[in-house]
Amino acid sequence: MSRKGFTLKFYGPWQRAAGVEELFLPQESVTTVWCLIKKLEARFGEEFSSHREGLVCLYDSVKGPRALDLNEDLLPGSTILFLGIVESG
Amino acid sequence: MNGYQGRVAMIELGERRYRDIFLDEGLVRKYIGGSGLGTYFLLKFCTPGTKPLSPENPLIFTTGPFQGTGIPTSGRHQVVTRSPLTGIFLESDAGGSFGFHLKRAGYDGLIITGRSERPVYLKVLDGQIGFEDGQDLWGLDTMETDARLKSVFGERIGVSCIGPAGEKQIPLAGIFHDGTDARAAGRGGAGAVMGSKNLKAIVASGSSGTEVHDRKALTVLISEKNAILKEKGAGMTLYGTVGGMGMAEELGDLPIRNWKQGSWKEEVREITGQRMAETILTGNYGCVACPVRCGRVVNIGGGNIGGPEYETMGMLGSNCLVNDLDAIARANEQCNRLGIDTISTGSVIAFAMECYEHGILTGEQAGMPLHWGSGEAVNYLVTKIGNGEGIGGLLGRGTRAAAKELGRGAERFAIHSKGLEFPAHDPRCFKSLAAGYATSVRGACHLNGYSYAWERSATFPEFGYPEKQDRTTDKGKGIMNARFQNLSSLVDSLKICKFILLMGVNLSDISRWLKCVTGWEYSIKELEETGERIYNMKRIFNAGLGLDRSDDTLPQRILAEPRGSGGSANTLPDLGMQLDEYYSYRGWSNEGIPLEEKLEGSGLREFMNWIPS
Repeated sequence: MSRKGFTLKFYGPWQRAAGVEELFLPQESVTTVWCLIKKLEARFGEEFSSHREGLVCLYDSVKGPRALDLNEDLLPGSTILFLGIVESG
Repeated sequence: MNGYQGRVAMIELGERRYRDIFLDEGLVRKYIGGSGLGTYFLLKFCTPGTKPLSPENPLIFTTGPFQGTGIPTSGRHQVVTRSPLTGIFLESDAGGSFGFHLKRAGYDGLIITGRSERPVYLKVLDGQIGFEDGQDLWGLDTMETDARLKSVFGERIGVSCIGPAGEKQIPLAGIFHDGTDARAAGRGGAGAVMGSKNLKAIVASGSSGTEVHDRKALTVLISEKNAILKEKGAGMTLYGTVGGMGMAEELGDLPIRNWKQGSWKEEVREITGQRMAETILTGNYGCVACPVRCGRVVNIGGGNIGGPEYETMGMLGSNCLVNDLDAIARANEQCNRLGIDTISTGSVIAFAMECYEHGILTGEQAGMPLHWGSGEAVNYLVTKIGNGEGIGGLLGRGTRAAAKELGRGAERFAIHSKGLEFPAHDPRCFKSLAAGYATSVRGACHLNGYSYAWERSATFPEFGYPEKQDRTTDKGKGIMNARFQNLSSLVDSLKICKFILLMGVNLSDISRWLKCVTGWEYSIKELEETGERIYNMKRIFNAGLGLDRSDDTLPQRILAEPRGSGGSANTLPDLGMQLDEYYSYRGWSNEGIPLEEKLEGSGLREFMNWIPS
């Protein structure tokens, strides 16, 4: 039986702060982006989100990305991307 | 020959004839395609005496070996010629689908010379080239032209065309593709060269696939990389390049009030990609083989049109102090329809606004008051420039020429290098852009080297840049520029999008792709050397026109007037130091001329006669 939780992928400054590219966070219940970030701050330190760069989005390989609000509910089983600066042309 | 159709067409418009030039393996291994092959043919078929708008000036379209293979972002092509705006070397890269269709039509490129007596368009269909009367298309805008040709030939074609600006040989005119999903070879006036030949459009279509050395292995590599690019490019998919507006303002990169103002914190929020997504965005579009799809679709006045990207938003927006999303989107649409470069157009409008502020240009001369922040004035001038009417006749010649004609100190408001207007990134913010813009072979260009991306956020360990580079320092930036110019020349020759270098594609990937497509082994070192060879060729062209170190410079506003506030306040680049380092690394003289032994070592002996003795 597969575990329930969130697949988190980090890029740019998020990755530098986390020290890993990817992390599986076990969790059975719904949570919000805000709560998720707080959990990650507790794990990686406050610098995890202090750079104020980029965006957090829900990712589905078929539907593509969708930007998330901080207070949006996340269902276990989701893949969440923590993206660095949105590159400009 | 895997990866290539093995031929380019040499087309003479005046005599309405063409012949095929067959490519041998030695040639394409040396110059790859796109930028490299285009520059090779420019040096072959142009002389230092060839005038940009003369029939003899070759207008060259080239694709790359990855085109038609499904490699991510490989749906691009290059246009190479001598520029009527700057008078020097010009290459312009475009996405969309035209390159894909041209290669499917059985050609790796087209070399077009001569001048048709009457307006004409070319059909490149399944290995045959035809000359069609273009009189009925003359006067149509780029989107009307695309639609008209698709109504004749069907939807499965590529169209490359000019708008009214190109027909009138306005030096800001570009060459446009894909109609409403506009993709342009915008910079430097290639559209005017096309117009000078009375060539309105090229239609391409065919069924010739690209042969690949190892399809099975390539399919696996493409699948793996597409998955990564979709994730890493998610920000671009959501917000397009214009998602970077806020950060550009914060860093002190964004052009504001003709590069004079330091910050614009509150105002910029109205014109970010995020704001666009909340308001007028209705969809996105992409080039052939691109999993990211950064192109914007917006709804203005009840209809869907292409939305502005970062450079356009910076130049027609913040640089003119306009933060009206609707007005900028309309101006962008009008530029695309008339067929003019949004970057140079935005720059020359900001120049005109500053001239107006200082009384050098009056409202009577301009036809209306040119107040900072006026979206109405921006749209008015876009129309005038694109149609070559009134004040647009002067401004359409670019900031350098307009400043010279206006006089009275207008030169200090003309922000260009070698006659090409600055794009929307500031060398006072990213120091590497100083040598980058100054030495760029087509004039001020952020993509000639793309070095600033590695001072902003990206790393490239395989290329010797494992950490983000310090954007505030000058030391090392001359070398960095030379190396990233080489890399960009390689990428422009393969014809893939530079954005993927920020999203996890490195030189090892490129080497593997090249092996799978062509069967050829290239080490990382050989790839960089190939890029260097191609870059040297472009410099040879300019050296042949008499350019040297004295031309590798920047406007006084950038060299001597720091921003007063914002993320790059009170700092200036040291161009002289960067140039010394740059020339030394390149193996050029301190006057910026490629040295004989360098050219010999790069296999460019055949072009040494271009270098003045």
